[in-house]
Amino acid sequence: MADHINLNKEMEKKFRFRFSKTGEYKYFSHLDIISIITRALRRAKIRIKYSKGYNPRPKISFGPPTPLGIESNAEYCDIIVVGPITEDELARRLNDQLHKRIIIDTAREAAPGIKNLMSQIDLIEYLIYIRGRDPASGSLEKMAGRIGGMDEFKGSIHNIDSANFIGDGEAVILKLSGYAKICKDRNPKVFKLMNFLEGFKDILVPCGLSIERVIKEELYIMKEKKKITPFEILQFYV
Amino acid sequence: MKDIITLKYHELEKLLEGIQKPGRYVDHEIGVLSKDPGLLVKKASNVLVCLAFPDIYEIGMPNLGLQILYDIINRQHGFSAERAFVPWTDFEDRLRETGTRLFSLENRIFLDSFDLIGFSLQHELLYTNTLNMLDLGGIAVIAEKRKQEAPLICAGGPAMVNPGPMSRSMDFIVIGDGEEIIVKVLERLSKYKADGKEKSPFLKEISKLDGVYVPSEYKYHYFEDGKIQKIDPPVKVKKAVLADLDSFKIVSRPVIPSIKPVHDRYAVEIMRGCARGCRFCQAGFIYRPVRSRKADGLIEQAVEGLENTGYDEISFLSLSTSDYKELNKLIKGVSDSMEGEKLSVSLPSMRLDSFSIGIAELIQKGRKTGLTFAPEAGTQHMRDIINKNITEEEIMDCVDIAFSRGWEKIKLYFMIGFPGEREEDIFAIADIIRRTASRARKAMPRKKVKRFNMNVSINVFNPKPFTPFQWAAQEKIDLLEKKIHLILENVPQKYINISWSDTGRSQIECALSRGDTRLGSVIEDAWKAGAKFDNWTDLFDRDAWTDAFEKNGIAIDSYTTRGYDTGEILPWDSIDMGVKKEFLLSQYKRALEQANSSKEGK
Repeated sequence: MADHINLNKEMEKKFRFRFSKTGEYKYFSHLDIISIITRALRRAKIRIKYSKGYNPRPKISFGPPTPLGIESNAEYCDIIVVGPITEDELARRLNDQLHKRIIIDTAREAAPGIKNLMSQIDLIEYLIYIRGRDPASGSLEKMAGRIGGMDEFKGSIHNIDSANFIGDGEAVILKLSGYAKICKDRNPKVFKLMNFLEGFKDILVPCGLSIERVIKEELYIMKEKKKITPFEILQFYV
Repeated sequence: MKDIITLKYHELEKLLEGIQKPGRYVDHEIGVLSKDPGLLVKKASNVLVCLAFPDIYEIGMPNLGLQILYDIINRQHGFSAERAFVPWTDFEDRLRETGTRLFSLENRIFLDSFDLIGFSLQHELLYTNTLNMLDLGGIAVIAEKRKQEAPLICAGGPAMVNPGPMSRSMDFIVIGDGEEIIVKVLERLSKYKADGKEKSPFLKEISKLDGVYVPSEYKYHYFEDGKIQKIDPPVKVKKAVLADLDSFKIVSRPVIPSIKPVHDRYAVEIMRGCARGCRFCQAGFIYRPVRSRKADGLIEQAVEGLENTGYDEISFLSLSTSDYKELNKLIKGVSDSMEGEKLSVSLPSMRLDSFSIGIAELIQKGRKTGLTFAPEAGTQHMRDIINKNITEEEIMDCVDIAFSRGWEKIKLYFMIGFPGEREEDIFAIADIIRRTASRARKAMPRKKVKRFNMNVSINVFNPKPFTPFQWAAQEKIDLLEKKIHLILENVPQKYINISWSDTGRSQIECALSRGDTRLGSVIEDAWKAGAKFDNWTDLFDRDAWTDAFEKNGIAIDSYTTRGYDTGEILPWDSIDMGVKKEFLLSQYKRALEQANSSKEGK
């Protein structure tokens, strides 16, 4: 009996994987996506560890929710798997069970002691695709100047990459990272994307610009004043 | 084949800006089977079907009939089925504002591009939503006004067994089990399409099939008082019956909704029909005869379905699950095969007794959902009249066992307004609610009593076609209201939540379910006045309905509080449901005798 329990313990592995949800899948809520992933895990016969107790729950946790209507390349999920499986096999078997609008691009084994995803994440980076009649002209500078005036977001935006617009004269991309949680000596507010986009539209319209697409691009953790990704943090836990 | 016009994705994105639950209007669920319309269009004999459900996505998706037909059609060569649901009011407004026609989920095909649209009507309060979907799809709501190139429109489901009220909108109506008939109809449609023939000879041909009622083949003649003089021709359409349920495997790869539906689980039908014979229950008569699936094959198929879908809950459906003889074997077989997985099993329509409590304990593995009972009436006398075979003693015994073993919640269903109902029957409902509550609380471990929770649902009796009570009158609204108040006054509201039906809505539902072909224009007028989602408390617009009846010079009462003569021609006499009218009448007479016998005894 004791052997049996030991064997089970050895078989448990923690994984962190990242997936994108694009196209039509942006219309499914965070809770819907959780159900979609959980059912796909069962279809893939990847057994998830359950908590003990009166109402057992699967050991699965997700990163900060993406607002409805926003595409994402940075959905993260932590799971504890029972039974032998490799990183690549996990990604492959799960992808086989999902619609192509959800793709797991990376899966990494993680130390059991790693902190909860939700509490770890400090920054969320979004790419905002902007389109206009002639965005390369002065209208972009005008827009950049006005973003600085959006006072209510000052304490929640970490960085706006307005100097290096990537563009070919048609669409330009604004890189924005906002705080995912409050940190006393750094930022007093959490960045609220949907509120920001509402206000941002009012700035864009007079400049003849509009938002074409918004993508949640990456999540970051601040480690010794440096931004690192949820995968890069794994090396600090053994 | 005619051109198939679709909505582009970027157009959909624009339409969905600011819309609640946009996931209702996109597909890409796991299990979608529709074929590529670009390939279909190449051959004239190919048939494109839209399965339309006149309720929202979350309610429509768990419907087993929809999943069965979707599976059958899409697994045939040359046929493709897509789904469409009624849009919620915000999205309807958006479609109308932008002049965009309603489209299917899979390939966003505009409704008027389909060859055939089949509606599934689960209850009468979906009639207006049906017209609304047609109109949103750019299709005339009256069959006669539709052009040759417009899609064929049909409907089936329990709310179509009386074809009268909706016959004006339908090219044909399917009565009975859909599994076999749908293929027969599509094969004939395919042939007619390939030959470039028109609708009317096609309709004439399918009208020869069991289970197909073609309204244009029938003429209803009325007396001046509104009763039916004759139905011409006097030939009844026999309902389609699937003799052997096992001849069709259960759907092992259903479409899995991406947004949370009202029932989020894998549903498996174990039995069709019910032998209980409750005299008010339409489902109990229209789905006869009772047919069961064999547990042996079913276990394997159910396990396959669970593996294919990834659901962690399975629901075994039937009208009376306790009557399924192999229930133990089935539950054990499925649970054993899924060992190691967390699987919950739900058994709706379970008649509760000590035996089934045992099963419930077994399958819920510590997670105890509520107990549900449907005594329907407060006294044994009344339960005898309606032929509901459950005694108070049985309920109380069951409550004792369940609440001493950890259950905390109970739900009771009652109905008021039955034929022969007396004031004491109403008081008795309040009594039985109180007694059940106190019995349950006594049986509970003392520490848990605080968690006791009881829900009571009071529904209004609606006489329904093809039941022994089809001739009975519905009670007047003011009397029904009084009865509801009597119950409310006599039940402590502290830990008991009571909900009751809107009597005005029940009246409309009754008129529609016992209505005739004259109601076609009433439904249309009510819809034009804004009636839709009639089953939603906050959207039901009674004035739209009463005005529509008035405008058409038809008294609602003539369908509701008027008892139908046992000799008169009934609007649904054009249909042969398999249950003989003489049998229903003998049951009705027996009920009336039982009601009278007590009066004499008093």
